[in-house]
Amino acid sequence: MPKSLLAALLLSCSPLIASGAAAETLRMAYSTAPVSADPYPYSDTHTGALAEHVFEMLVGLDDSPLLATEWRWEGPTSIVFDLREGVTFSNGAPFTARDVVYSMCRMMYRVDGRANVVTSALGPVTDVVAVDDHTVRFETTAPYPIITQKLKFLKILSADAAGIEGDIAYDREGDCGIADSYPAQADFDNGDAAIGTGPYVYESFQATGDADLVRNENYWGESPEWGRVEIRSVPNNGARIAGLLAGDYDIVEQPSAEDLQVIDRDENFTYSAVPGLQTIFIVLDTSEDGAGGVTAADGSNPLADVKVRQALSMAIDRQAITDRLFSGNATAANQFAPRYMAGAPEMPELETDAEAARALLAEAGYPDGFALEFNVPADRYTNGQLVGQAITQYWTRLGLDVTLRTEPWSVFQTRRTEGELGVFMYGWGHPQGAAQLISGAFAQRDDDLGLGSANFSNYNSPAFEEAIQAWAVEVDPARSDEYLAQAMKQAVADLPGIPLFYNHELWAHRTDLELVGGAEGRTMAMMVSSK
Amino acid sequence: MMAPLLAIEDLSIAYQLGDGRDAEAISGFSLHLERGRIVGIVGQSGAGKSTIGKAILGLMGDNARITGGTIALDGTDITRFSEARFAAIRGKRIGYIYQNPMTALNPVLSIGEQLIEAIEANTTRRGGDARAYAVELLKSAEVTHAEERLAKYPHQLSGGLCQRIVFAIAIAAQPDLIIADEPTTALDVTVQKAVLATLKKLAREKQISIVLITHDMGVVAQMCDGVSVLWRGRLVEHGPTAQVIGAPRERYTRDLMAAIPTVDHKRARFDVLDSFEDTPGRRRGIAFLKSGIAAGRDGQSLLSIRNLSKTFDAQGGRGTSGGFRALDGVAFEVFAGETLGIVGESGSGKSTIGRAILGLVEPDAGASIAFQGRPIAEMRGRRDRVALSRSLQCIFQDPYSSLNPRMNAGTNITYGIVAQGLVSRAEAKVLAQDLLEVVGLPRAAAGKMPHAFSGGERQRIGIARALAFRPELIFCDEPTSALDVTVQAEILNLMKELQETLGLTLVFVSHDLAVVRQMCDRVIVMRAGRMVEEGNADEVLTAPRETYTRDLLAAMPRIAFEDA
Amino acid sequence: MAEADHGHRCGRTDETMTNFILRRLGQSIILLLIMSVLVFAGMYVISDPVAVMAGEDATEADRQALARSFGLDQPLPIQYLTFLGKIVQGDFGTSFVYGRPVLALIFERLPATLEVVFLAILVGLAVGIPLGIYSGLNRKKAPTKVISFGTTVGYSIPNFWQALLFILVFAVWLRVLPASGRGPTTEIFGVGWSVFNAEGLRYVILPAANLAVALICMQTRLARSGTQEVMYQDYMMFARAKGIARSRLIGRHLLRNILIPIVTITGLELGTLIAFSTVTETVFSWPGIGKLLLDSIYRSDRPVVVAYMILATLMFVLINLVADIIYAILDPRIRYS
Repeated sequence: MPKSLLAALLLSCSPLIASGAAAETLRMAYSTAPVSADPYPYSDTHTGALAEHVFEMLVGLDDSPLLATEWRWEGPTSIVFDLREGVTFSNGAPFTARDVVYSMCRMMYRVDGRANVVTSALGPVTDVVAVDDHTVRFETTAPYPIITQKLKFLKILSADAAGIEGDIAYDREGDCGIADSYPAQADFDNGDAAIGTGPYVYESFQATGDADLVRNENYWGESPEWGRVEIRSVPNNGARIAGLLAGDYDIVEQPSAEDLQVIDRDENFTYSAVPGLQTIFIVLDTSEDGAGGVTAADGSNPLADVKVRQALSMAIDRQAITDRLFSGNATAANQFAPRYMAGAPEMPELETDAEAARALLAEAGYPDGFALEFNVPADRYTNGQLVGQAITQYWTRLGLDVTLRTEPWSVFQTRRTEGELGVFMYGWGHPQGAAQLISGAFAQRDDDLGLGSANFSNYNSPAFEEAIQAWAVEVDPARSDEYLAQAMKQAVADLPGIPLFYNHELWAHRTDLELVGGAEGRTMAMMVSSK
Repeated sequence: MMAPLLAIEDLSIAYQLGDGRDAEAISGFSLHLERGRIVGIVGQSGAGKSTIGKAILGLMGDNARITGGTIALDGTDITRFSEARFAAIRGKRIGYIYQNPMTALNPVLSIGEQLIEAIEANTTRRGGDARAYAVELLKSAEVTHAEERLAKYPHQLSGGLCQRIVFAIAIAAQPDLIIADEPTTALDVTVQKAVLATLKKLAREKQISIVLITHDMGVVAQMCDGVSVLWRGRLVEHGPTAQVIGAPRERYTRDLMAAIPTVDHKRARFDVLDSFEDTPGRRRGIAFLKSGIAAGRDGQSLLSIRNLSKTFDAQGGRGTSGGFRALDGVAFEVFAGETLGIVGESGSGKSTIGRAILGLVEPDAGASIAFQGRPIAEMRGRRDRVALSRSLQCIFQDPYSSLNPRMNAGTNITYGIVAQGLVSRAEAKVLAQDLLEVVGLPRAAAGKMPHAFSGGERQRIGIARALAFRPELIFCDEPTSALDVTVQAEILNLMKELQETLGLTLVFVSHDLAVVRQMCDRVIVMRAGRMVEEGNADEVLTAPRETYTRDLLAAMPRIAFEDA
Repeated sequence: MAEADHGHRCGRTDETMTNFILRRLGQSIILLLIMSVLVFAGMYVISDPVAVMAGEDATEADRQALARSFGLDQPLPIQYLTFLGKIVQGDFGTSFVYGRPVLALIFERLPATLEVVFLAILVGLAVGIPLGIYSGLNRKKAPTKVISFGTTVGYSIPNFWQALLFILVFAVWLRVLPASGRGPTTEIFGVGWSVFNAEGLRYVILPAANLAVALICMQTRLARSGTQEVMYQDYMMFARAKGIARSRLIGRHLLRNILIPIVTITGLELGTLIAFSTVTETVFSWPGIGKLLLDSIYRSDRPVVVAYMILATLMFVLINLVADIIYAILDPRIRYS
């Protein structure tokens, strides 16, 4: 190509560079595409994050009051919320208790038999009553203290916008006599039904997950800084960071460790981190009758012996993993919930001592080790495979015969659900409180209390059960924390799993932006401000 | 005296070989050609005849260069011309008639486009005017339905028609000189006669000079004012035609003439320049063939054809309207051990007979073709088909497309018999080499791919393949018409020898009466799908009963031989 | 007859075009059936959509309800037959993940893929053929060596790395083009296209260039080998002997002949690019169907994967058919036999 032509091309493009970043507009790159603008059927982080620009809940993700200003238990099975006054939806309709009833109805209604985000979790709710315009009462079958955690996922829709007139009578199937009027997913995606109380409204939503938002001028709270927000999804890590460097985006989520080195070298860009809610841990199948992929010479399941589980835990140097593999952007775990999270008990560090580990193993009757298959999903967790390799080494040094098996998420997840995995790495977020992991992964199954839905460790400790069941029905916050601490200490003593570390949430962005991220890791326009 | 139109002086041409060395193709060649005269350049294939023609047009490949001498056109030396200066004389001052009309025309462009582009490039005629002139040219080249032909593509036309189109292109701009490289090799005798007459007329009336490159002494005798005989790139003899043909001074010229088949008398063998070596492999090959070919039933009817007719639908035909009757009530017998010739012009139906016998066309109802007493139509089962294909083989006219280009020569020869389980894969390898020796090719040829062989060599591979089946009858469809005369002589000698030693039965289809005369015991003369004459070859070809046969014979170029 | 498979005198080509098309379509139905069984069974064996889609706190009842809603509570053969029955009625099913008709999902993403693929093919042909002809004609010149080196490099660098390199150079260093995503679209015939407006076109350039590199290399090689082969044909020499202009010799006599293999291979390549440009679409976050396929496999969205593979197979069949027809148009020897 002649030089002059190249120069001409560059010149013709330069005005576009200058006009690339308008000050009023914030451009964010997500790592995964939101599925829909419909806030109900999809539970993934990115669909939720997008929706939370437009819709709000009674209780904020950080447990702060949002559309509810206050709440209190009026009895063991009855909780009352005072609603914020002076809030209007983006279509101008005022927000009242009727909208909460309507939203609960919609949440409980299964389209084609399919549950919504918290349909099951809110199953114990027997009634929702609009006491007056700004008071709403939830009745439950049994004491259900974590209802406030579950309601963090109930986005409030406008009953008026759906054309509902008069009072709505709640029922547990969500029919409420108004099922015909529920907007379809397409109505949300084209913007017609996407009417919330949040700081932004949709300008457009594409089926590919790209969305343009504009400021909700009627917003009840502090008016957001950005007049316009453009959300794009860029699943490829390299392309996402390149988009930032190229000036296509102002903020991108989940930069990789290598990306951070690039960012460090360029004064125009920086990154922000916040300790996150996700705990990465290893699940051990403690069944006496054997664990998948675990074979010992005597035919027993070594994992059934707590000494073996302790040995496996002691062999792992957590600090080395967070320092070397994560450059400090992860925190070594000492329990099954982020240690810095509200409600997490004070616990000692987990020891690393290879010698003691070997001694424990010998004491348990396995001086020559045993064989185990360690399963890690290939494409799910940050540095997942590297962590898997590191742990494989620690255990091999302990004298075990470890086979690392990495599989695609969908395959891994299927085998896990089938109970085929004896030892596997997993991640669990805690948006619903510090007890979320242990109540789901280590408790005996109890669908009424919402316990043990994923107990693949087959852990069954009477002491733990007593504590967690007490926690599940305790509505007094202080006593609830106490039961949680008891259960957590028991779980850490028995190790039905091995806590590894807590992921940090990371964002790379322009240096002239200030970012205060939330531990839940959602990428929100509201957390970004210009310096 | 005017300077000659074309004067070649002491011309030498060398080809660069793969290893960088030069190989001399032409050395010290000279030629003078006056306006309106025709000069012949004769010699075997590989003698360098075509190279001289291409040098005059500047069309030699990148690897050839003129190492000495001059080519003067009207006094101007053109050996140092650039491509652009050559382009200015090609088509306008020098026309070119290429030896193989089927490959000279671009297969994916219409006849009209190829003719009109030449007219527009070399004359002032454009558009409709050029088109009208194209039609006129085709008519003057005796192309029927000239208007319709413009929309056709080369493969839709016969070789003769293609040659006339090539001819029309060459004379479009009324050049001073025409290089005619084997212009009639692929044509029927009657067409050949017309083409040659037209060339001669052009020379005489329009004062166009012609360089006629040919292997055919008959053509030279009939056409040329002078002749140059070329052997391995060197001029061995030149002079007025009558003198060179009537009293050749050089032995090579005499040998060359001896290789030419004549219709006037039959010879046991052609005198060939190289004969086959007797080797153990060749003896083994012949023993293999003899062991399987059932001989000694001479006189028995092997193939019996009754009431064979074939009508083609209009849509599948070549532009003729209505059903086309290619064969009409043909009936004859082929007796074991004989060679039956079928002669006739293109379109007389001679090839269709073969295709009907081989089961490639379905004859009209009522026909009967029986092989060894069994109707072929009943031989439908796999075992019967295999047996039939073993007993009945064919050798094709076109050695280029009848071999599988993706298999080496050895595999080409034996894959059929291996597939039918007649020999094992292990035996096949040695057998292929033996058979190559039988047909006069080296054993090493088995490993080479078809494109590495000359036309004559490929035809021998085709013969070896047919022989490998040890068939009772071989159907030969114009087996030598694509070959030059000395190669043809070798092939015909080979087939004669094999026939005599193996007792082969041959059906020999040809338009070349001289070849048929040399090869055949009996002959059938075909015209427009009907048999016009049948009988002993000697009688039919020396004292024909039918006018048509006499016309055919009269159309042949002849040479008066000293020793005739 | 041993020769019947190639000697043109022995060949039998009395099949009509209609017969040919019908036979091809018939074959493709069998192909489609086999394909759908394989994909259906494969997805079933590999992963369970309920396991992937049910949340951590899903109860057993939730899982069963989910399975029922997907029809996964039925035995596999019944699921397959139900699926076939619906396909016959034109219903390719509903995505597990998106809860929307699969066809709608595929077709709303198809234009994005089509525009980038067709642009790439056009660039590939427009650049590759002239380069190939040039290097075929001038085998010993310096630019030919550069072209030859270029095609070797172009072939040997994986698509993925090329994409990142493009992003680095044009988006990060030069900042002339956006790094990823699809720009604004213009509605034409009710479908949004980004190639028809200047800003949108800027977004198409890099992904299209990424796909085009391999195409250019391929077309260059095809055109070069075609040129070398055709230039030695008798008819090329005869055409030169006619004294026609070089432009006509190249543009007509040569080009028409080398186009034949190019059309065939480009046709196949077109199908591959449309169905499986997953790498390019992923790296550039191009919202096309390749990305949809990848996401759907990842999320165990069986209806999308199965329908996708069926449509892709169908498309390959059609493209092959069209390529054969174009082939016949380009080559009169096929057309008239």
